[in-house]
Amino acid sequence: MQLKTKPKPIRKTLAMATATLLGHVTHIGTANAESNPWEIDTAVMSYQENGRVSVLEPVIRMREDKGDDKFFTLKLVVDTLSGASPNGAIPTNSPQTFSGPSGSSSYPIAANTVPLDPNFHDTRYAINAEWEQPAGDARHSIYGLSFSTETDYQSLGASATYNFDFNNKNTTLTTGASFSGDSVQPLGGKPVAFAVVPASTGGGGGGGEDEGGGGGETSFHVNKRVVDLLLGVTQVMGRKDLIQLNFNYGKESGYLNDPYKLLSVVDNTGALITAVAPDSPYIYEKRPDSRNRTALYSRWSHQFGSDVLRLSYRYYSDSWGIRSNTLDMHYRLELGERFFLEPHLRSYKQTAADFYHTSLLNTEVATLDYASADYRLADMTTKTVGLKFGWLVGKHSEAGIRVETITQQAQPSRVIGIQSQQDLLPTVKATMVQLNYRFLF
Amino acid sequence: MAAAFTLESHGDYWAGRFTAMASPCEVLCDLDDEASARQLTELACAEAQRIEQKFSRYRDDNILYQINHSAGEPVAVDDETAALLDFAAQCYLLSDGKFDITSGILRRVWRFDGKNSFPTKEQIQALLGLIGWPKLTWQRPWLTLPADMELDFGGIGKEYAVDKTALILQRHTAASLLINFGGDLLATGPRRNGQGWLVGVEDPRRLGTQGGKRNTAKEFELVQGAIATSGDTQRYIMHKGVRYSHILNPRNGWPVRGAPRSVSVVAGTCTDAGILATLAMLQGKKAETFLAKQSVKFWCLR
Repeated sequence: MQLKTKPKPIRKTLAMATATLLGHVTHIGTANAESNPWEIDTAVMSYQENGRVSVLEPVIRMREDKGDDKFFTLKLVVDTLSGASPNGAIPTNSPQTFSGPSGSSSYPIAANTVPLDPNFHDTRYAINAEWEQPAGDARHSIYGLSFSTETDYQSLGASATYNFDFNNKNTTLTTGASFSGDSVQPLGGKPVAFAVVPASTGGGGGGGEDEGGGGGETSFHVNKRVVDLLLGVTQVMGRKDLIQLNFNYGKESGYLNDPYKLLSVVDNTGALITAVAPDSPYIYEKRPDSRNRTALYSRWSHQFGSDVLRLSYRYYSDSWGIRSNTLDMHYRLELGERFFLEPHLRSYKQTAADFYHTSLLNTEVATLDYASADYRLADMTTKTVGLKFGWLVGKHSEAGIRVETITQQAQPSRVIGIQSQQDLLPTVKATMVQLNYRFLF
Repeated sequence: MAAAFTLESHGDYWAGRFTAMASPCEVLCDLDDEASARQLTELACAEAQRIEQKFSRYRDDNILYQINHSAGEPVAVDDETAALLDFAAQCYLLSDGKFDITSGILRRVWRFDGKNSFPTKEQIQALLGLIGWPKLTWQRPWLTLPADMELDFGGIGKEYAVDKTALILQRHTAASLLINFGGDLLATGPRRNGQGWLVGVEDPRRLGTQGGKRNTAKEFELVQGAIATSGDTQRYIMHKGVRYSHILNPRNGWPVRGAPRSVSVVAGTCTDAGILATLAMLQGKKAETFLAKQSVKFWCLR
């Protein structure tokens, strides 16, 4: 068998021949895009909520310039989540005990304390690949594939984006679509919506043979589908301004419940009430099996000398009744040639979902179609204050550190009787620190 | 002899313009002083015309004429010509014989004027015997070219002139320069505003129109390095409905099939960029694959 040898790159040999021709000048200039086809972005993010979850997230993003305006991008993310997260139940003036998601471990909660599920730890691995290429005269296209996996959740997605340039490239129209199919395998089985959470004896594994709990169905696979459509316009306004408008429509369908979130059932004094003696006063949540989202996003970028201001506003509305407004501001302040500071301010405000209930009256349980006590669906404001310091280390590398504090304040939908003695939804303070290093290679 | 050129201020840079090698040429100087810009343009114009006079095949008073009319007798060549011959020999080897400065003779039968003047197989076959770098004897400084064969430096002359001009001008100024000879261009470094020169790529006749029309399909900020383009969308032959490009394969005498209309390559020198662009054209359908292997930035127009 004859082996055909692959043609070898001739660029180096050619450069040597040229150097001889031009009198031993190796190059008159080093082309800026020539020798560094890879752009590597690495970052580590640490997010810590006071007394609650913490996340450690390393990210690596590699982008290769394949020439001819074609680019390949690969992004790998690992999320390590640990700590405690609210299980949806309200704090009360007496201690409470909850069974863990698998029914095998239970955890006690002290009186007057927000119930946090301490078994919150998971590692998520995500990979995302993108291919970008010109398509015709005045447009280019980007195709993406993504996959992520964690203990109880897998997601597989695909996306396509087209950009059309008009008007001497001063106007860009963007259209995009993405789809993802997710598979959820709740630990301990899929809970039956509104079913009573099995009582915990507090002994840890008391109901051992009843693995999965009374509320668990045998189905271990539930699915979720997400479709997103994007239409956007970017317009260059003179030499210093750029305006961007995006419209996004999304539809989620399938299993949209959080299988680990509970609702507290109370009587009209606000105290927990148990329907039948051995049962617990907690039930599983139930959300609609579809959600339509629309969002309008606008951004203005303006150059002040060498500094850049980016101001954005986003309006969001969905079929669950959530409306939100986000204002975001970044200002990049150049400090000489090699350093910059970037303050960041963000303000977010949302209205509660129609079916958000901090707790449920026992008389309501039979009458409601949907209910959830997930505080992320409550009336809420979030304020973010951050600062990034960036350093251009060398000609082809940049390092940065970003520190942000996030304050989240949610409002209960209703305070019944003795619940007024409790801080039902305490303010959550979180700190985010991100280190990043970017280089060409 | 003072060459004819024009000088024009564009606010934060000067543009000197002249014609050489049958192409519009320009030198953009990132400086405020008119006298310096004038001196640099004069130097560029002189160097471009020197190279044109020395290596043009339309003159009868230069070294190329002596070589092409040596009737098989050895000719002693100067150092610069010798260096170009060494370089041509390297390119012949690197390209597996696809880049051959003896192949210009094919132009006798192929006329790329957009008309249907198509040669016969016999006409082409007759010329193939007069093509092939290995047929000549090159022992520095002696070159022996068999009778009726011809050399042509057209494939590297303009890019070589850009590089030589840049080297000369850099001895006279530290300012950032953009040298553009008919679309083959080179930038010497970042401008005072920290940016590169904005150049249009794709339509070879519109390259380097800084501050002028910018309706080219691609724009590229060139800080330091060179871009050369091979191909010309106007030069082709239509024959039985098939469009034949003007890039000829010296091994069979026929136009390369499946080649892009034009290829632009970014490299450290204009000569490198030009050779890579030409070799890519010679790869035909595989032009993009070839360039991707070289790890250079490039654009192919098909």
